[in-house]
Amino acid sequence: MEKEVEKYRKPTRILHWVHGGAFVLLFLTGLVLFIPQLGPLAQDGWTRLLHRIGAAVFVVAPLIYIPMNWKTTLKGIKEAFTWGSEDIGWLKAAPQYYFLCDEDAMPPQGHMNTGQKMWWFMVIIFGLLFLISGCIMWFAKTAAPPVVLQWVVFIHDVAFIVTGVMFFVHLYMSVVHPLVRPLGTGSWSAMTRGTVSVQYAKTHHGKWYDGISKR
Amino acid sequence: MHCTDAACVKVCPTGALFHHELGFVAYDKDLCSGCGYCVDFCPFRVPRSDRNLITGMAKMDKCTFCTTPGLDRIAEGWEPACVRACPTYALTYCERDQLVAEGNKRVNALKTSGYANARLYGDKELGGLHVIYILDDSPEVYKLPMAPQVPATAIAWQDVIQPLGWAVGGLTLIGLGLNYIIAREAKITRDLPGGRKEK
Repeated sequence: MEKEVEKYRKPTRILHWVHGGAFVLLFLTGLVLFIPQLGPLAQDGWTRLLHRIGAAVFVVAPLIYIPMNWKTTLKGIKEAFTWGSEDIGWLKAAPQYYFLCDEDAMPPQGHMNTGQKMWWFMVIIFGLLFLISGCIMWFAKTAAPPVVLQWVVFIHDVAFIVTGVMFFVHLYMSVVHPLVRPLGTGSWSAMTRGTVSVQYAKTHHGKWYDGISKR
Repeated sequence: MHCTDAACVKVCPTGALFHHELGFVAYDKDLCSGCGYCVDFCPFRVPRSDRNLITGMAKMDKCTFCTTPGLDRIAEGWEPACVRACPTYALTYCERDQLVAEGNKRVNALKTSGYANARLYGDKELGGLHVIYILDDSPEVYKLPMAPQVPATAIAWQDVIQPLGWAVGGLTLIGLGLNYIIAREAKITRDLPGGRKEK
């Protein structure tokens, strides 16, 4: 068997899938209120109840994860807010890489490539926006002044559109794009079994591999 | 207040609130999801709702103009129950034009008898309300807004953000589809013997 290196630890992978599952439930039950034709599905509010169950998982899962995985959490947050020249390189090379499948065009990437990092950054920022606006709607619906609730609905909807659209980009990039198929040693493997092949680490996350192989 | 430009109808995501063919805002309570957007956006604070704090389960309540399915007095050609029951004939139900004409007459009568601030309320507000008040003083005295408006957030949300969301979502899906077609072609060419790169 090919030599492999660990990319995501087991708790991180569990959090990813639980959080992603909650997001899908939240997305679908929210979509019902976004598309007028689906509106009648929300009749009597049962989709709103499902939305709350999804929201509880969405919030509680990271709250359990964080204290149990301080180090990975801090590393992850630092990663989301660290941007450098390889990110500019990624942006420049992205059209050639993702449209023309020219894998040589891409400069060496860190533990996450720029695209993955952009999504991870958005998950943090919009996750917090969802959390704050959602909590106000859930717990302060009768207490907060109407104008606050109006803005909160607005923010929740903007966050829904941005993350909903980017969620499809994320799905596409990780399991549909021709370069990731067939799903083998790459990011699919990283988020399921937790490891990637050394070969993949070298070619797709060169900067990261250099760092860990020196240790 | 059964506005012509009704914020509640604008924000209602299930179609529970809608304009009746006679103009006022009808309400199908069965369709209500309990989201409470109408409660938050109505400039008159008319829709009311109790809610379960934990589950969020709720049903809004407002005047249905007596068109509740199965109890539809308007379809029967009757007047609304409040008009029928009012013992002092303070409420009148008739064609809107007639109502406005009669209202203006009474307001003028009030003005000549010393009520300088008397006015008709609901004639022009929000494209014309379908409940019209004869006030013998400023609206504020009656806790009615001087210039009721559909909140700007409702317009930004429903008329800008939502269509934009559709456009961004649609274009993204089209873009991803195009990328798939182009990238698949490129990958096949690349991997051909003698292609740009041999693995």
